[in-house]
Amino acid sequence: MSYTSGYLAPEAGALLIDTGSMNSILDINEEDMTVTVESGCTWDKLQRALKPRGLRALAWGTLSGINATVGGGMSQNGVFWGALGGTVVDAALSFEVVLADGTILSTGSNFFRPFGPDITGLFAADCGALGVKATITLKLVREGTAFSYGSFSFPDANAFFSAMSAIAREGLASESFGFDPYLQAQRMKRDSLTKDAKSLVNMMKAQGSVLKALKEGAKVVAAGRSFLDDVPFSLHLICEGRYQSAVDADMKAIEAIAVKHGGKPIENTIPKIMRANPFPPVNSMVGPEGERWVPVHGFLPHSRLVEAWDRIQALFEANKAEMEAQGVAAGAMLAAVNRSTCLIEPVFFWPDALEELHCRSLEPSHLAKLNRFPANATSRAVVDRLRKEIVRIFRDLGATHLQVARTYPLEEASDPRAWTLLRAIKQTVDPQGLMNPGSLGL
Amino acid sequence: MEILAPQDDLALAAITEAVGAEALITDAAERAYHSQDVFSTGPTVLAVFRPTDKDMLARGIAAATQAGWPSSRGVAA
Ligand SMILES: Cc1cc2nc3c(=O)[nH]c(=O)nc-3n(C[C@H](O)[C@H](O)[C@H](O)COP(=O)(O)OP(=O)(O)OC[C@H]3O[C@@H](n4cnc5c(N)ncnc54)[C@H](O)[C@@H]3O)c2cc1C
Repeated sequence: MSYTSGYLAPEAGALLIDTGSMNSILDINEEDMTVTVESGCTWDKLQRALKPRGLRALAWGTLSGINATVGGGMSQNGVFWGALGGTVVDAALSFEVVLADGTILSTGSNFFRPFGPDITGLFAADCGALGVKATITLKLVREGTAFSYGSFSFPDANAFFSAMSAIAREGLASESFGFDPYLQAQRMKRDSLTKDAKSLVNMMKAQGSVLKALKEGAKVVAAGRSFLDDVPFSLHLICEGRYQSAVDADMKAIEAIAVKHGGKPIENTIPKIMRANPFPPVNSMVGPEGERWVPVHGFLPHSRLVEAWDRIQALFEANKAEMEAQGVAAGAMLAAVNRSTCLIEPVFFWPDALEELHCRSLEPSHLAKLNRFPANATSRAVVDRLRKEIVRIFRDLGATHLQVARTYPLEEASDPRAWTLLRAIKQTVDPQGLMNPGSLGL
Repeated sequence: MEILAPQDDLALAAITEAVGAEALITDAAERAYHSQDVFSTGPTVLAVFRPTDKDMLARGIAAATQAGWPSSRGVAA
């Protein structure tokens, strides 16, 4: 489910390892609050096993989790569910990794990290350059039993970022994400409201509260989606905790911050529906009309968000004519990642042919409804160039990234001594350079 | 099925011996499908290895690298 050439070999004739058949949950240890899975286990499968026990992983997956694996998450890192607990590798305790010579290395203790220098951390986010993860042990936490949801509209990027950062600094929300005006409009084209409400009702029914389910479902339908019609930027937040009074109080505190920064409360339909169905079909890997889709992202400290945003918008402005001529459009997903960091993720859409990977990943009923565009190398070249220019802007601002693979310049961003150390480690675990050559730039 | 270049045959035979033919996919369409991600299509892989557990994964990787898999090629997870 990735898009940074992480498993695309530099030359024909490579052996591809598909971990999809190694998908067992090996051990749920409720006493020690750890879970061990095979690396091909999906986040969705893990969550379905843990939820009935009132448990979840500390960070519990990416939105692609219906297909995306725990091994993929540990290898290129990721962030979405449980973001208050960190990125997904922050949930890792230990791995068993198969090295290039076929030996199996255990990265350390399966209940505490780090015991000495952090070997688990070394293999985390390695984009497969150092070995193939076979098993993974993660930290468990109790899933919340009380939730509060909030959505806010902001007139412009400045107001949006200052509110998102202020809320993040307080550590109030378990998840905090937003959309720029373009992505907001795309989402509205995409989702069918009745389907959303149904999925919410089903989910709540499954949890045993039929009456509450019907009430919530009715509320979502009554709210409709017109509340989002004139929303420029939207911010969506979830508070997860033990007591309703506590999460409601946290949401009140969030609202006060949002309003102070120029935000306006709107219906909280989006976070409610997303939390009820955390790993939906990956239909959003193409645009609502069947266009191709690709994101590019950077993590930045709060202090550099507005500058990054303005520079990216200036880039789009300077390329407006060409983008319009080639049918290239861009929106952005924005999210708080922890108390000091937020994510800016521009997302491109352009008319181009779908590949086999898209056709197999989308729901067949959704695929059948889409336009099919002919292959379009010219538009794609524009996207490719703009994506690279955005990576440059992020580099200038000292951004960090998930999904480094063959797309983000890790060497250039590293202290030369740190890079030499990394090369030495690669040389030790893979002296012939056979393991995913070129990934991470190694 | 497709014919593989002779030097690749050698490595593939070693892996097949180590993990069994059922864990390997060499069908052209499947190889093409496994050679793309959401954004890009890369050079086509020689085979797809689908291990069913840790030990088979380790055996397959050992066989692939010991058979002198050309170093310019490599293993992608
Ligand atoms: C619709 C959609 C929604 C998404 N939502 C999010 C989101 O909310 N947050 C987010 O961060 N990302 C998101 N992504 C991006 C992507 O899905 C995630 O990064 C995810 O973690 C990829 O997991 P995967 O199992 O598909 O990994 P793959 O794409 O198979 O692999 C990714 C990388 O990890 C390596 N790798 C995989 N397994 C192993 C292993 N066992 N051992 C060693 N290396 C390995 C590969 O070599 C490659 O470099 C989304 C993508 C899509 C299409």
